[in-house]
Amino acid sequence: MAEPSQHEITQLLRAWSEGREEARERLMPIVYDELHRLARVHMGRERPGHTLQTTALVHEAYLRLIDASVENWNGRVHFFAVCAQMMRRILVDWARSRQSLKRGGNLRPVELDDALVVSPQPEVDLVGLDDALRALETVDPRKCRVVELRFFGGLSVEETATVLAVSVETVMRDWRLARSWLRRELTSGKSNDA
Amino acid sequence: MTPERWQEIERLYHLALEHGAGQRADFLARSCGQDEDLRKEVESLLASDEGADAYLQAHPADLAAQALAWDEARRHQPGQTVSHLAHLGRYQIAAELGTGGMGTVYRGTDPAIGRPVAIKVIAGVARSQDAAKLRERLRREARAAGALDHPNIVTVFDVGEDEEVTYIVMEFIQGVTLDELIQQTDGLLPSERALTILAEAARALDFAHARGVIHRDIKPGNIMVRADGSVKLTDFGIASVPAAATLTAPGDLPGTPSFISPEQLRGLEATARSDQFSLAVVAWMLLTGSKPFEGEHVATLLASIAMKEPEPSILLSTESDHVLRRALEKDPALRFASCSKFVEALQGACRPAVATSSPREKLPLRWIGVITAGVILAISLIVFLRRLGREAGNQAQKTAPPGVTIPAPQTVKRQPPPTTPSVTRVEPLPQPGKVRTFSADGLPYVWIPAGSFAMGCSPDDRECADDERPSHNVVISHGFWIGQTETTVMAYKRFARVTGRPMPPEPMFEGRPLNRGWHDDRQPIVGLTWGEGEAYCKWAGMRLPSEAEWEYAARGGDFQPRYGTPDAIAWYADNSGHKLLNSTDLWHAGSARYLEALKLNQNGPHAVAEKAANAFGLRDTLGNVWEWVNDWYAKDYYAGSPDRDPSGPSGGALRVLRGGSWYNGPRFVRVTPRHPNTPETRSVYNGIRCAGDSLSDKS
Repeated sequence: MAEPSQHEITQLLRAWSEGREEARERLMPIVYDELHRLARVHMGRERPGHTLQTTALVHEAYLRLIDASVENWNGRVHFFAVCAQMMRRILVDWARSRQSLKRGGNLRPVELDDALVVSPQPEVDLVGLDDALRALETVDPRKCRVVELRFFGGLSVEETATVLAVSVETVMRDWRLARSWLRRELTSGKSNDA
Repeated sequence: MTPERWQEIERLYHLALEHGAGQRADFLARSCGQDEDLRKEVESLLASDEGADAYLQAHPADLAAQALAWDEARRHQPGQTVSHLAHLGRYQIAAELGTGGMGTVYRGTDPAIGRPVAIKVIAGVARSQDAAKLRERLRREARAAGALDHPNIVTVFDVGEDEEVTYIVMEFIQGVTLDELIQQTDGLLPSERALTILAEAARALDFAHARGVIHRDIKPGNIMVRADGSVKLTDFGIASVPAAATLTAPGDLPGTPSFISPEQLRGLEATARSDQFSLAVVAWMLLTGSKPFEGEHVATLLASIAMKEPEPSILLSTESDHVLRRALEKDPALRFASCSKFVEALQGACRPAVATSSPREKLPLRWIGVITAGVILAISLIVFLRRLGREAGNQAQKTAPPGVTIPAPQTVKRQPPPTTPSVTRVEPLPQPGKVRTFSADGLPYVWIPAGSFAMGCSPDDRECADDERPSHNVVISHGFWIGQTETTVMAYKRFARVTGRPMPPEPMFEGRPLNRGWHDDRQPIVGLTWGEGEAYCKWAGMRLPSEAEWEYAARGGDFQPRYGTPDAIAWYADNSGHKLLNSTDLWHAGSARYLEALKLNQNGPHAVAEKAANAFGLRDTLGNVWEWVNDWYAKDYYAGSPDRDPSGPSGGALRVLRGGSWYNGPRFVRVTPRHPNTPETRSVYNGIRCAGDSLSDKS
């Protein structure tokens, strides 16, 4: 497949921001490949565990993929929404594989120092979160999107409202309830295990 | 769970949150009736809401970086890293100095001549898909920097390759990066020190620019400061000579997001002025301790660099703020001609603010090296004497600011009459108050010193209405801040955006829109109720002024009905439209005629600060729009007003507006008219100007 041009990607982004969901489906693999390509380049440059890296990657991906001269703020926000979904996928895959490593799965241990894998905030059970989000999506897809954009994409309330075309108040209400619900699901899940 | 059930849970959850914690159980028991499951469900969600503030709040950026790295590492066996090597080419490696820009830097020695060197390595170049491109970029860096021979630029000696590792050999600098220096000093680098560093960096950049080399990545990590205080720019790491610029693919744009220029963000070629922008970001950081553009993640940061103005900082004087904003213009053409021009302007603007030490130390440092001791002594004396003089002058001003004393009637007569058209009084202001931007609305505020004045009908004013009498002495016991201009549409838009409040209905005058779509941001906001005005000021961290404060500030120490000719100081009915009118005559012809004439003549509010300032530096106190003040209105309030800090009647049906508007005739271009309105009134003539208190003077 020929590499899509900046122009095409910009068009896809615009189509999605106008509500055409199929455009997002076409964008996803392009963004995914690009993030990985950039990650590869950066791997050679910087030490693992560099915090700024992800955001820098997304930024760089945006500049590479999108014809920034014709795109507007709206387009940028939607692009970051795609990245949010990618990030969810990458993170959850990673978390799942770490789980399987711990359980003695046959994935070859990689030479990344596990000691570097330190998170400043209390560790979130990403796999559990992903499962809970799937459950939430069946009854209330919008709340699932809100969490995806806010947590995985790092979008602000205002940016999230722009992407979802709802009011800021709605996002804040959705976010609050979704958080309560997810927190309850995850903690009750743990207590069941114990 | 069905969506209907979920909706019911959601509804009750939010309703319960509106109740106090103590009443929620009752509320739920009432609302859920027999449905125990529903009640339990909502209750457990509410319990989970407790203390959930931090939950999922942080973006897992670091985790994501790990995840991406892991994903890649699965496919690519990591090779030997440089840290295990004792040698690179003929150079001995001693220790790792740090990681930055595009690679890791090591300390080493050139055994041939025993010279200490710094070696910058790009490990993993060979494994990268873009190995050839990266290597070429590295060589280009060496060539670009190697062509620069300047005391403030790190010298490049050599570039080489060893076992798939590409490296650059540079002058070894004993010192710290500006980043480290900022950390060492807790971000409190003295202004003079900061300005010296900026000046040397600017000289180095101008030197490079004159030779066609753009740094492209100016940031504190690339500015080295040696023990003797001298500065070395390093890492012309992504600099390129224009001829080789084609190698940079569009969008393939390294650089540090916080310091990158808007044009580089847009993928345009970096120029000398892009470096100036980045240097100005560094300058802002050094002088205020915070970055001019921030965002909670990269999208907001980039958006802010691309289109927002920096939030004003209380640590910047108005002059420094102006200089920095010019260097931070989005349009490179509007910035300074060179980096040195920018820093010189900044030095000029900062000098009064940093002049706190002894006179000798205040000499610009760059003079010192070039003049002999005798000359130093002579100049020091002159500067010292001059400064003494200036301080004496300041002292004189401090002891006698305008309006502080209550003048006896004969003193009033001796006051120089303010009859000159005030255009000539704008620059410089005769007695300017301090101007600062510190509030959430980003508008400039002027410091009004405490004092006393005669409030109400001015002496010899024949146009006073009954409610302006009697003239009475009032003491304003505390200094206060007041808006230099009326609150603008732009400031109110920010308020609306941040708080989610709506803009007021668009202003229509006799069926004609005055500011369609709130298009003109520079105009004063109109159509606010009193409550909305108060809410705005509160949000800005301010309040509405009292009526007495308003008049005291509007007078600017003057005792006349107005501080200049109406046309020079105010937008009012005669001059606020397409053609000049004689509104007084029109008024006498009847209100229908008046309205019709103003409508046809397209009268309306104008951008703020176009007319001359009063002696405190305030604009548009008279004319343009009426301004809500905090006081209730009583016609006879002046007769029984307290003489210290009067704050108006304790209640009433009407609030006061002051200052006249674009709609009113010259009779209202006076400091004393009082205009009562019900607080709910929205009018195309009514706006606001906030005031605020302060323990210090916020300087």
